[in-house]
Amino acid sequence: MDEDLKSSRDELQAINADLRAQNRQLRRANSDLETLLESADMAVLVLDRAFRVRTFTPAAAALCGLETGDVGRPIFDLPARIDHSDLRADAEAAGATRRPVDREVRLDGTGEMVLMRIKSHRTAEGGQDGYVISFLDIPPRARTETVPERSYPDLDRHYAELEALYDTAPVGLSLMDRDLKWTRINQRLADINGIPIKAHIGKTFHQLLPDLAEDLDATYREILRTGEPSLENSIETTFPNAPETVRNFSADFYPIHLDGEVQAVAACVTEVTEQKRLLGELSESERRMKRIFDAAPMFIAIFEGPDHVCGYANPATRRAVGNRALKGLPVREALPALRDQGIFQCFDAAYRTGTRQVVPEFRFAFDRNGDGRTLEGWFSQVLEPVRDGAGEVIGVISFAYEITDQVEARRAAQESAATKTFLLAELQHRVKNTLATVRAISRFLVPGAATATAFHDRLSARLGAMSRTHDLLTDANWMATNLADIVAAEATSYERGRDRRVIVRGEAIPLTSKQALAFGMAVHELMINAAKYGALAGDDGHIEIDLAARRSDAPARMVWREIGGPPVGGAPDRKGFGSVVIERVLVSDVNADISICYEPGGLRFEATF
Amino acid sequence: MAETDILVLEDEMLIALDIEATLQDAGYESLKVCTSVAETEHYLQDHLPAVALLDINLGRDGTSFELGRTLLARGCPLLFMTGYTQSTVGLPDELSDARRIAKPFSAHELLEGVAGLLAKAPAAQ
Repeated sequence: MDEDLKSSRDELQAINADLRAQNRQLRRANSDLETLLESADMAVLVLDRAFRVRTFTPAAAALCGLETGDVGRPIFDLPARIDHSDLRADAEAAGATRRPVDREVRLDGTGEMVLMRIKSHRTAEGGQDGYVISFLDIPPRARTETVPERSYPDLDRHYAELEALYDTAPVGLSLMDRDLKWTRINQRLADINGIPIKAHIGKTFHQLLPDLAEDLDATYREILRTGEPSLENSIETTFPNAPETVRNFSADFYPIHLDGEVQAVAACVTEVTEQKRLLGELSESERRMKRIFDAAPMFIAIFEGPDHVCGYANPATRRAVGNRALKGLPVREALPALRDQGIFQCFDAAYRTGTRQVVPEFRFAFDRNGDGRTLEGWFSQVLEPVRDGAGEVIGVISFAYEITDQVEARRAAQESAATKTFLLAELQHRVKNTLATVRAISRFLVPGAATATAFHDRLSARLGAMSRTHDLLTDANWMATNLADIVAAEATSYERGRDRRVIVRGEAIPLTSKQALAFGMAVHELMINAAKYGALAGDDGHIEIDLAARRSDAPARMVWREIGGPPVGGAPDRKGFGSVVIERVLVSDVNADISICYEPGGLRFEATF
Repeated sequence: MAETDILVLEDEMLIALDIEATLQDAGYESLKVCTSVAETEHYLQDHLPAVALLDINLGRDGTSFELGRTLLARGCPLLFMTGYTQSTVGLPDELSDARRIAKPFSAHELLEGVAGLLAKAPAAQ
């Protein structure tokens, strides 16, 4: 028993001695490590598996704001001077890959950027024990780009300005590293993507913008490969937060060169959805307008510049000008037939003054069918100035339509109205002259009438003669009547049965209406005279009338001979209405030469005209 | 009054005779009645009437407007005698100051027109 106990004590003492030795070694090692870390002024932070603070160097304490009492507390519970939002993910990545993970982090307060390197720490048995985080200065070449040196206040200020610009620029801006992971993105672009700024950092296109990833990756890789920017990329896409809304962007991608190498790719993104929509509408509106113009039955053409160079002519216009070339030609060259119509001056005025010019009616004769025949037409035209966005007149649009039918219809109507007025005037003239003639007849009948009844009888007889002549004139359309017809009309009331007492021989002598009226009255007076005193006074006499038409060497002639009447005792003493009609009216109105002979066998009257 | 020349141009003789007789009955003795433009022009070569009474429609001779212009230019006041109304055949602008009486006119209308014309005729002064 004593021996067992003694051996046990010995063994225990040996173990204790070992343990003491190991403890000494461990203390020395710890001391050496601390000395090493402190002397190297390295910022190192050691976390256990649950991210509790295990130890840290003074440099790390200064950097991260740690105090001695923080040991054992989870790093996430401590007021962070560094952004460690990705720490857990990075640490797990480092543990899984057994490779250190580097991340650039910004120190709060100073804005300084440092490289945070996370390494997995393992137990001797190979299990996950914790993480060693070391903070390294960013290599000088990178820092010149992203970190202002404290010793350069200007650069600092510039950087601040750049930051402000980045945050407030009305365009989307982002930066991706060589691994095509976001390192920076401004609010504008983050909003466009519909993802918070922080959620972008370290992520790839495939992770956040899967729809665009393939194209953008290809573009970015090309930039990384060639070092050349890719400008004005049109991007049309939808976003998960509004899958129905198609949005358009214009993006420029630039390589960021450092020491001759492309270290990152910057993106500058502008949303052009509205512009694209407006352009689309404009272009649709133009197409619609052109369709309307093309189908319009009127002539539409657009002319540009002070010389009115034709830029567009609708099919109606092209057909109207016989498909001759218009486009590209100044209007004066294209349509020289319009010269002298004042049209070109209207083009000039519309362009110069910017006011609409209206040409209500102009004549235009040109080869319309291209077959060499010139056709005349009447047109109406409106010239409207065309303005650019700034309101400057840049051209003239011409709207014209053919009014040939209307002009002709109006002319016909005018002619018809003129004809009507003419006919009314003619009718008025005849009626009024007839009445004036009746007035004159009455005057000259008064001296031969002893009583009112006698006057009435005398007047009635003359009106009857006038009326008969009017009937003949009307039958002949008031053109040429025949002297024989007038004589026959006046003779009718003196004929007795089958024996003709008035014998008319010879040729037809055409008379004008004025001549007819004068002869009508004159023959009537001759008949009355014959019935009263001449061949028709008794039962046996008769009158022979010979008519000869006008010839080139002789005037027309009427010879009136009374045969078989009572003996004629010479010319009557009193000159009554009959002699007025024959000696004055017939002579004047027919322009006739007359002779009246009171021969023993009977009266002989002759008129040549 | 007796020295006053009155020119009458009326292509229808019977009406011309009526006018002539009406004027003569009223005491006008110095009258010249013409029935054609040619006759009137011939007369006007050697004469200038104090006043002129003109029918408008002269048949084949057309109208008397040209003669009217000539007479007016020579200071002769005009009276147009016509069956037309102003709405069918109006006087040309340059003759629109001339008087006009409608056919058929009464003796009174004619004499009043002539008296009015003579009142402004230079020869009547």
